[in-house]
Amino acid sequence: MASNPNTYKNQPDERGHFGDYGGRYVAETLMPLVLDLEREYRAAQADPAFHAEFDDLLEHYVGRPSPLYFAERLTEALGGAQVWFKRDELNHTGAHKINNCIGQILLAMRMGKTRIIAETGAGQHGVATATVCARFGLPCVIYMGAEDVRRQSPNVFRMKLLGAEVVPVTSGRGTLKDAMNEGLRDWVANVHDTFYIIGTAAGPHPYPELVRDFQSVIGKEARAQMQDRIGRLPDLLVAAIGGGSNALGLFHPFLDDPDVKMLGVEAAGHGLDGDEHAASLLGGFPGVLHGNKTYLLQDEDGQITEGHSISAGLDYPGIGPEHAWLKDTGRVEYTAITDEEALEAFQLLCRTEGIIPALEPSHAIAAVAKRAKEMPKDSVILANLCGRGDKDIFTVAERLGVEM
Amino acid sequence: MTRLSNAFSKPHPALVCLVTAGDGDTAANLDALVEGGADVIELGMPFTDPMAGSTVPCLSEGQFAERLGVEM
Repeated sequence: MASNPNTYKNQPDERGHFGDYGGRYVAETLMPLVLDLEREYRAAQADPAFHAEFDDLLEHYVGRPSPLYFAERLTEALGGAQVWFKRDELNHTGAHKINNCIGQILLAMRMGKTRIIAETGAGQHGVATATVCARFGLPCVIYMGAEDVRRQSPNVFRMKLLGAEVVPVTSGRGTLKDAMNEGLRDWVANVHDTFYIIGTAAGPHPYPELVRDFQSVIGKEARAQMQDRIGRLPDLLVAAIGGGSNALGLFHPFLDDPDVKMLGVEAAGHGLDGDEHAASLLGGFPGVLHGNKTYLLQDEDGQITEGHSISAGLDYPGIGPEHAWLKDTGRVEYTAITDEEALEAFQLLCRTEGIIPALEPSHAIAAVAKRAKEMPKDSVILANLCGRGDKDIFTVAERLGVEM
Repeated sequence: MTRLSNAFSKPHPALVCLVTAGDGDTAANLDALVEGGADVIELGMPFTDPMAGSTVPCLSEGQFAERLGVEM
């Protein structure tokens, strides 16, 4: 199905494709479930009561709308464009992940599912899932790579406090990809009672679409807030990309504003030249993983290769299929930031604005720092501060050689 | 698809065997299956991230002596 050239906002098509990407590459066991989920999602989209409940929880439980903040001292320090942040790190649970979990748990309950599973990288999605499960009284199992369990230990404890069972995954490098594998395998074995809350805009159709839709509260709010505050739209949107949900959430409502440019920031780890990065768009090519076709880090046989990033949430060898399509259309530009650059940006925000960001959005901040300097002072950059950095202080201390 | 439908139209139920490529001597495995009476053989490719491949093992360090390359 050809995309309507007049809008970028009507993807995917009825078979879950964003151009060549996306789709439903799943075992037969999962097909009925995935089709059920789509049917339920369409019904929910058309149901005002669903939207009312979603909005109510976002407002009173999550604390939305999140502030739109002008970073005055950071702007001064960079000497170029005005830098604004959409502060989703102020949400309940400290990241944007909860927006999607609220939507998906409401869907799970509509479908009469009694058990929730999820994968998690940095632990923010795991914490958000455990949170909504506690809120609605559903048993919860979170799969987390063993390496991530180690480097994000505060979040592991939080999940347990919230009543979730955390299952460390030791296959592969013990990171997000491996956790997602275990999540999918559990789902295949437990289709009757289990709902899999996927934490990013990837997976078989309709997940990339519904995750984007739930996260687009970010961009809808930001667009209205910008108009209210300064009577104009930003020149450039910037967001970090792991699976791509926070970026899509910010970007999607602006896709048809042609003067708003967009920059997605992948993790370059130790550099794009070697193998030690997690930049699927810049360093990979199309293949199939986790139920969708998208850009992947893989060898010539299609075996998935291990990525690396200092940040657990960006350490994924794939990317949401909508980003793959947006890259091909040229609507969004993609770049990558190294571990070192992200660490510097982390410290820069701490010192100039008194905000401790997560390592994931630190990648966005690093890209903002580069671009702001090249842009005139009356231009506006809006970046997604998609998570706070409490979970990262041990990792940062280790990298800076500080003993806590 | 004619060969496949032929395999299912014998007087007895079709014996469908799954074997993973690279698990021992693949050619010998295939020959043995044919000789043993398999009507259909499903040849699984080892993958780093199998989802629901039942008996297909994960490709992991140390599990295969050499990387399995694919030539069609």
